[in-house]
Amino acid sequence: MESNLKLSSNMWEPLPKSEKDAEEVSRQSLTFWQDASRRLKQNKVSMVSLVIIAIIIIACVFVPMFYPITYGEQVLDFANIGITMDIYEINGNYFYMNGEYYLIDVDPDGTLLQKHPILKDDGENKKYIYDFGGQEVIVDYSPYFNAKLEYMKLENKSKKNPSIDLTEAKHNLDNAKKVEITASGKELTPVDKVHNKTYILGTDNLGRDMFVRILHGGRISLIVGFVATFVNFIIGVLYGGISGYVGGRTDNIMMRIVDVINAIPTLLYVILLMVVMDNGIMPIIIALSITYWLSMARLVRSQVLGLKEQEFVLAAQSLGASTKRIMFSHLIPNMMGPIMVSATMQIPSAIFTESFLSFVGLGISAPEASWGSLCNDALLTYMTYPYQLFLPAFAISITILAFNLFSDGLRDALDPKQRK
Amino acid sequence: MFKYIVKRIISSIITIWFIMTLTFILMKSIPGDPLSMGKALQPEVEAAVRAKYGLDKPNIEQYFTYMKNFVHGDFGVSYKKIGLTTNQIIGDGFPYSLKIGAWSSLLVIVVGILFGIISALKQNKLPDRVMMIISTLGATIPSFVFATMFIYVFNRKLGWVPAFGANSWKSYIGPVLCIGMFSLAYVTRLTRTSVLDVMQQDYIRTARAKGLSEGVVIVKHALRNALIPVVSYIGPMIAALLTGSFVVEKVFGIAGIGSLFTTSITNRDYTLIMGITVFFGIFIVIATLLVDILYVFIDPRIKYD
Amino acid sequence: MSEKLLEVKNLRTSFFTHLGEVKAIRGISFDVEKGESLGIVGESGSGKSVASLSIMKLLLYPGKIVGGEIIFNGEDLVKKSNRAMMNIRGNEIAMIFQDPMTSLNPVYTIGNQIAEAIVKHQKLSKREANKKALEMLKLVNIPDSEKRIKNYPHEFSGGMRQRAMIAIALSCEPELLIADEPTTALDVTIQAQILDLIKTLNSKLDTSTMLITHDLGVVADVCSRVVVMYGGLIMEKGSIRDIYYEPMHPYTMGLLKSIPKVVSDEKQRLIPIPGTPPDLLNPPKGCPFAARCDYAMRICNQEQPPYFKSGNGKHEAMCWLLHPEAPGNESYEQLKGGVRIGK
Repeated sequence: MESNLKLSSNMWEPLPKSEKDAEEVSRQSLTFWQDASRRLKQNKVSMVSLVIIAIIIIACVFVPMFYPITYGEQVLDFANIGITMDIYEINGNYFYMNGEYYLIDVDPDGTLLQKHPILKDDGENKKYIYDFGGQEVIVDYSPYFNAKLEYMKLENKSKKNPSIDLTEAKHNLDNAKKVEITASGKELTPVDKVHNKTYILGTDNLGRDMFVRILHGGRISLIVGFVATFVNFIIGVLYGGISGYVGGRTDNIMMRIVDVINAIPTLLYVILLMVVMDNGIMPIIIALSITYWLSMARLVRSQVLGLKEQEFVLAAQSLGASTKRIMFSHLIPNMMGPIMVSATMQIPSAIFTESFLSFVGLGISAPEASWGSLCNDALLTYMTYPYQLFLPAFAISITILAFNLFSDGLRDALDPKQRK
Repeated sequence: MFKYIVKRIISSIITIWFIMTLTFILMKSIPGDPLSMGKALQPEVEAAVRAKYGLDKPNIEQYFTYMKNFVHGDFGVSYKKIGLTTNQIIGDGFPYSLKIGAWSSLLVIVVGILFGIISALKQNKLPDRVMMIISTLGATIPSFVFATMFIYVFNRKLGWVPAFGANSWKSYIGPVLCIGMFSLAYVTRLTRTSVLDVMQQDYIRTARAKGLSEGVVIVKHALRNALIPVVSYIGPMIAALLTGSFVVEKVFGIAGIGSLFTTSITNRDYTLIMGITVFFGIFIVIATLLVDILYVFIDPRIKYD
Repeated sequence: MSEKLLEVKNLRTSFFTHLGEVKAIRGISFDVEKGESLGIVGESGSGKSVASLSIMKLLLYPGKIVGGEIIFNGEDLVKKSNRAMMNIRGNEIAMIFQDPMTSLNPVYTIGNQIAEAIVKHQKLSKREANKKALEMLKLVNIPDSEKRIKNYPHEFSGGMRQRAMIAIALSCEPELLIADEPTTALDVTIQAQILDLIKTLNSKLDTSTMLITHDLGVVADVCSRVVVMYGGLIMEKGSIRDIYYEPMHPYTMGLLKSIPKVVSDEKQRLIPIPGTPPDLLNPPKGCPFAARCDYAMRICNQEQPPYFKSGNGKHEAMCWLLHPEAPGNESYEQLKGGVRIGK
């Protein structure tokens, strides 16, 4: 019970008020926004996403301004060259062979010079003959060509006569050499693999620089994303705000309209609108803006309905504040949280929809480029030149991912019900 | 309860009417003439064709004819594929899409819910984190990116599946996965959030206080409540699968209704576009209606007004 | 006299959060005798709800019992596995909660929710269980029970829902009923009905009750003994008479003083206890109430007081003022003689 209690005389003195910590609240309280931004900054994933978004925006906006090559410039000779090239060397001259077996002069560091003039095109024997400073170089693409021909003939025969065995012919085909380059009878093999210095990310089928096209396409995609979201935001906030605040029959009717419009997937609307308006940036922004405000309107309306009941609105009204003032100074600041989250989530959605539409053939078309249309362009040849598809695809994916992760973090930061 | 169902049916019919009218108005507002898109025709021939398609009559009359035909199940005739009715074209392509769509739905519902539950029960542990990453990727990577990557990896590099067509069962893997991917990711996250939310509820504490085993608590008490929001998603999910089909069928070369739609857009075959749009619209409205009715039986709380 | 149904000995429970260990309960001991009802009184954060969840072993992560014993019918519940506890919950010890709206599953009928406990513990068939459920509804005075048994929770009023909760809890005839703030979420008039019901059933079914509340008025109505908790510890315990008429602890006195007197002609100020509860992440090493106590002495801040018993041995409080060497304090002695409620 009482153990080693040192009952010195002053133990029984009354406790002075200063030593009572009763009223001290240990942790400082922050305002809602300070608390939210603190939480957001602690969220590493969100911060990284934000940085990525900033980099993407800056790159797409500024780099094409200074880059020596423009997005529309075509150099047909240099079509379909990838990011890395196998280069050959003969007599101090370096060259690269493109997908159509043409030779292109290059510098050993990877700069493209020009297409090397063909000396003789021997179509019968399936060869191209070139001259390099007196040295004759033969590009022979017959082996595979012939094997394929044989295989196809046999395949046709086998349709009529099923007993014909195709395995050997197939084997020959698979193992046939695609092309053989010889100089004075000796076969040449690649001496180095270099990065394409002239076109960092390669070229497309019309010899346009992929790097600049992707950045330029990014501009379009981002503009569409931001503008469409912004317009949706305005329309949604106004519509939902008015509907919620006015209430009653007006609200009922306005929401009925929303319900009916909502019954059909917005994508169908957008497609129909695009068909009517034809391709282009403006039409697609308009189409996206007219359709995606619905969920924002619903959100705003439910927020307003909730806040309307709260006492501070009543207090403001009893002080004689006008409706407009109530809306702008009281309601909107309090709704900003979920609204901001919703808007941040709509940007990637708009970018996605734009790329989807462009991919399907609506939306942006040549010569303008958006990420979606770049993917569409590359669709025909992506098996042979995969980078043309996957680079813009990657750009889309990472942009959308960054926005989504950031908006997730934003939502977590603004949610007061966070357990921590 | 029945009053509610009847009200929903009526509102569905109104919506369908709205879709048809809207589509009609939009198609008629396109500048130019469907007939002027193709080869130039001699005046008499052109007049005959016009008369045949009823294009010489005023718009209002065309509208009523259109509605009348529709009620009789006639969606019109394609301007481009001469001789074929829209019905026929849809009928040819729909079975493929339906099959793929059905498998996708199954995948999304079964796998999505299962993964969502596992994720929620093992919150923040390894299975949860892995599934969350996969579902984030699934929800953000556009379906056409996924589809092309899929073909590149599994056909070009690995040779496991055919690149196009819808013949063998193997050729279904790609399309089903690609179409369903986004919805799968969404359902997983939705289920997870819902289960987590439900497990915090007081009635779960009551169930445990009654001495029920944890298994019963989860399956009987938690799941039924947790799956309610998931059922609400089925309507939009069908819409998502539908729109997913446009891209996936194009990439995988499947002659389903999705690729028909995209081709008709490229060709500006207006009756076909209209017909397919209306068809899609109806399909979705009916699906949503069925889900709403299903919902009535699942959640006793909904108010019938 | 009566045997002890539940004996809690030096129970300690903490929550291991990422900010540190929150010591919600720091060593409490009390018991509930067969057939009696015990009230546990305290403000939010005192640890009273955590105590009840600890007894039922329903603490959720990151809560954990870190010490002590809970002896029920001779067995220590702390050592029991969760599987073993499942047989006890709902069966031998039952619990009802504060908010009946959220405590009932919205998608199942009331009848279903009552019957399921019966089926689990009493191994009756579904039909027999439903019959019993109907009886229970009648017992808790729900009118029109044949129809009501098929209703869903949202079709019941607040008071009826709480009755339904009681029906569920008592359906398997438990020996102990723990009621955690059962009336806090209800209207005052309904409160009285529910308390009355609990009292009646207490004697009818010979169930012991542990009633947890912050409201001293409620306790006086239903319970025979009271435990007063603050800052994770028991400040005072005794019979109703002891606590209400001869309080020993300044906190108890403060509580009694702060009850507003409804019937009075004079105008009075409300007398709250100034200050806020202690931070349990870093609990004070002395008496937890010292910071808010009018009579606090230096020693109160330094060291936790032991329990001092009063005359009959059943009334005790932890307060240095009760130490034989403590200086006298006039106002304190006055209040010890009885706090006039509301003054």
